[in-house]
Amino acid sequence: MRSVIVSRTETAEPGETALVAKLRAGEPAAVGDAFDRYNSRLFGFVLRMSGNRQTAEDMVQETFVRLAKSGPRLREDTDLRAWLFTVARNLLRSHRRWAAVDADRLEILAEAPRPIQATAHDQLAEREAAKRLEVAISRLADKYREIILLVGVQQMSPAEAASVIGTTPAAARKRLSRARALLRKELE
Amino acid sequence: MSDHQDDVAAIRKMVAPLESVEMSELSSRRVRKRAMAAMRETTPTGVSRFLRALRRLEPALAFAVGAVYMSLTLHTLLSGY
Repeated sequence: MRSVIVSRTETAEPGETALVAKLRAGEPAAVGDAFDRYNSRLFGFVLRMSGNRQTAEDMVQETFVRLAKSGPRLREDTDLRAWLFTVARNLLRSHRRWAAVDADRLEILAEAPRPIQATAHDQLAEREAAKRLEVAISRLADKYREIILLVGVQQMSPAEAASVIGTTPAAARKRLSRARALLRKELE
Repeated sequence: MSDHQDDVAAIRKMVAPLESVEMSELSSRRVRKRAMAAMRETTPTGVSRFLRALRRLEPALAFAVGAVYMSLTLHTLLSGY
């Protein structure tokens, strides 16, 4: 297994230092805590990248199994969120599951519960907007889709996203700018 | 605001309507359980903890500690007969 080294940045999550310490100490509950904290975010990213719910579940499971196995070897300053996203992304690549998102499967994404209460008309409009956005994102090339998901949805800084996708911060910023233009075009 | 800060803000605004997606409750429980089982399999036993600590010592000291450990282990085993 290739080791992943992602050092903590200023955007790291609060409480992550303690969690990394527990993982390094091999505490079995630590991986459960990491799962509770990052599962949803990781699953959303992998699902939107793969377009397949089963693939996304398999990839997320393998990512957390790898975290369990690598826990004692993590560096003290590991940025856990970036580490998890890097491993999940590498797994997706190595499994050659970068197929274009099947538009039919986007129904699964649109069926997710809404956190905010709204009127029926508003809800319908919001769902339509969300679905249109899902389709637009799914039409982007992988390299643009992943940076939009990491910076836009996961709220990573361009530098942190760069460490996940294995590029320089300058290249990530350039890619982000291009991704913004392409997404805007898709939404027109 | 620099160009890239402008891009970050614009993209976050563009993707704001996206809905959150969740793993099913059943899958979530299964994956969590599998990950925790993997962690328990990885958690070092007493002997492996000892060997790992030994590797961190200076070679001469590690040899001496190892020799004492082996002597005590042998003594314990042989004294049983």
